[in-house]
Amino acid sequence: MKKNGSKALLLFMTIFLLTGCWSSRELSDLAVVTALGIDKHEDGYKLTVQVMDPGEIAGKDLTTRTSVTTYSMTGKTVFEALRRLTVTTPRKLYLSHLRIILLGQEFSEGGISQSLDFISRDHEMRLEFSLMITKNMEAEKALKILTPIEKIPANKIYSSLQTAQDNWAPAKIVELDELVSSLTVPGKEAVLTGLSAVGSPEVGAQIENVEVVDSHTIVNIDEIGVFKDDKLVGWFNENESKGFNYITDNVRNTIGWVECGKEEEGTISVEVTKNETKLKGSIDSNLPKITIETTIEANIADVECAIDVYDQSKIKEIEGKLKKKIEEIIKESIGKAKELNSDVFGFGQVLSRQEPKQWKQLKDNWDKEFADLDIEVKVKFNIRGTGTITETLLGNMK
Amino acid sequence: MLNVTAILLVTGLIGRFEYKKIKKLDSKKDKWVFVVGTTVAATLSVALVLGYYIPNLSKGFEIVYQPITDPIVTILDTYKSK
Amino acid sequence: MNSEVKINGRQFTILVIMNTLGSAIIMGPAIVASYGRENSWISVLIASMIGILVVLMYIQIFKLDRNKDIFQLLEKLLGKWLGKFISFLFVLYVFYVVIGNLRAMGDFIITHILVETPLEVMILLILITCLIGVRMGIEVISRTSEVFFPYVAIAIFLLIAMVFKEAEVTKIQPILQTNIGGMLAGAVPLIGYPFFELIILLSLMKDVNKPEKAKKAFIIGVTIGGFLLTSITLMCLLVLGVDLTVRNTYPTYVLGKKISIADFVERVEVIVAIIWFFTIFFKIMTIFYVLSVGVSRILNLKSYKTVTVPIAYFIIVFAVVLAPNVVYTSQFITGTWIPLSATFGLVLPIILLVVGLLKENKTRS
Repeated sequence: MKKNGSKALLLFMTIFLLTGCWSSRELSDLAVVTALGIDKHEDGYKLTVQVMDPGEIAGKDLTTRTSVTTYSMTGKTVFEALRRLTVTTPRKLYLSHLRIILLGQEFSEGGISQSLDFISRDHEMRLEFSLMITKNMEAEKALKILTPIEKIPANKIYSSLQTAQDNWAPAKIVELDELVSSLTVPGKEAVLTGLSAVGSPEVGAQIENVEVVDSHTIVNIDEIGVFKDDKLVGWFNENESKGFNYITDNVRNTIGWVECGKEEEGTISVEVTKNETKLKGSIDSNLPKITIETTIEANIADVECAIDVYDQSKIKEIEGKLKKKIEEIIKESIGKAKELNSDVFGFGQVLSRQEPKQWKQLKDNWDKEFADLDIEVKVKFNIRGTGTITETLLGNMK
Repeated sequence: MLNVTAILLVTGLIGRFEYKKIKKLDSKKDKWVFVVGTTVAATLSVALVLGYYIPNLSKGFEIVYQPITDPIVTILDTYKSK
Repeated sequence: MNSEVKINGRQFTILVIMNTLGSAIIMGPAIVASYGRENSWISVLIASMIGILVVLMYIQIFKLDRNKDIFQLLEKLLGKWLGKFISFLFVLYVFYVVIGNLRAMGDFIITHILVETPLEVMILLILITCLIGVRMGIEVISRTSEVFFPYVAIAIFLLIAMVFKEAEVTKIQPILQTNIGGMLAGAVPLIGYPFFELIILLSLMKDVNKPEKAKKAFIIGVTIGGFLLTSITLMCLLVLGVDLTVRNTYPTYVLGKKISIADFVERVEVIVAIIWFFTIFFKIMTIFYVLSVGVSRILNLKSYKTVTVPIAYFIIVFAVVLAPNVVYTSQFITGTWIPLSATFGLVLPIILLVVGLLKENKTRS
């Protein structure tokens, strides 16, 4: 009897093992945030979240409701705004699946570093989202634009950014850790790709935007925004953005074109398939110098003039022209950066790695040094293939 | 209050089972150490749960070692970044 | 006390590795990198080398008397009362290592994984498991560690392999050119944590079935442990860069977050937690075991099991009040912990060795 009593007690105590996770939250209690927008506001920040509606994305019976909803709230800090949002959101916001953070242009011009602390401190945030600036508009508006094909606008923005970076080059995915280290490490300034809207954002926020073949409003991946310290100071144009990616070895695939020649009208386009850039820093008689060596491999993709691309000397000629053009693009980009006085390429870091002793002296007035920095550009351009056909169609036209 | 009851209950249970085993060792000292140790330990836990101040061991070491720690930290901090 | 308990050389090696990695595997890189910057992986290497030397010294102590653990040796060499007093201080140190590690594990879980769970609950759950292990004896602990070690090894290997493609050599340049002082400074806290803590394992050497193997096992263990620590720190620096390594409390966990293979293998950072839970779990268990043995030696008890339950209570209570916050812990490791661990990891063994050798000479002559 006595033995049974203690056994019963032990059995009873096993109940405590069945309680499960302490802070478990079921999927049905969460509002999955796909994108976050931060804007300037007189109270501090205006935070906008784009929350997806799971029923509209994976449900069996789709209705005409939009697949995402946005909520906005202001607050003295980002965290406060985020928590104050609970007064409007139906569920607690869940940030782990965040794809993208948009920073409003006005906000970026005023400095972004304070808001980044919460983002890197919060345990729910992962490192896998990219940050962008909404050009000439508030992040809130950009998050409201509905996009065709991709039901979740945040996913559309993210995949557009990725495709643009991988296939077209004047864009760059910047994740949080890269941004933070650009902001803190001396000798490198930050960049963020811009996002702009074509058409009225107000119209884009209506469901009709995705009900027509030709959407009234679309979101575009724009050019690269240049920061000085933590403030947005200017924009690279398309060529300069491309040049930036050439310098920072971030070109995976892009195209380039040149005029055929004096006697021929038309252009030749090539598809750049490989790019490797090496930055070398050196100190020449107490003056810092950077050498950019970039090797590009490309295939001929489009010949729009009667030129014989099966001629070795012609290939050399095209290579020479392309080489000059890339050099120009790179120099343009450097020129713009010098004009904005922002070392976005990380030349300072290159020097700190390769000439650590001299860097110590240069570090303190790097801004000035960067403006007068001697930069040598060496481009090697190799054309490898000519595509599936050899001779151009134009040459044999009757 | 629930916490205190739980601690006392669990301690009582463990004590009962444990004491049987220790009895088998046939050592008076073991028995005494166990009884006294468990009592003190349980009291301490109750004190913790009730929010009484419990001395912090780190603080103690910190004070004892302060004369040696300070110069070491000063030297190390000169190399600390930021 | 049951002196027939025997573990074999390989099991001892594994225990040494587990104790070396302990919590240093997840917190170490941040501590070292704040001094050593891009050269901090060399700091870890230096610390590991010194760790090996320290272990060689411990082995000399072991040679003084192969059948006694450190508590018995203290009494034998320093006399009953002084020996007991020093033993008591040593036990206090061992106790502190247990609660420190337990608290570190609890802090990690509530920072990254189960944020809303109270610390007390986490500590209680971990310690109950450890208590069961300790009561089973060192034989069971070592055999279990032998079972689980492959998982740890595979997890470390997977972690390194999976983040390898993200590594950039430029992040650790310039190598050995600037900040040499910082590099050496970075090694200092790491010697105290974890290498001086290995003196606690000296007590287990007599339980190894072949003394010769025990010596070899100790050295191999600390070498492998140091090597793994160096590799993890190197990977943190190569992948995260100095800046992020310093800024994070648990950089190794963040390293795990970086794993992303073809957008398919993602969000597997718990792999890091697996490594760490095993290493620190075995570390807590072995040290808890030594602690119980030590207390029972001081009190001349028949079985160490008598004191395990009361000690467990003490551990929980003091682990909860150990530090007001995480910042205090990391300041303590780079401050007071250095002389504290040096007292027991360096000064005490030297005294023991000197006294031991003097006595040996006396009896010989």
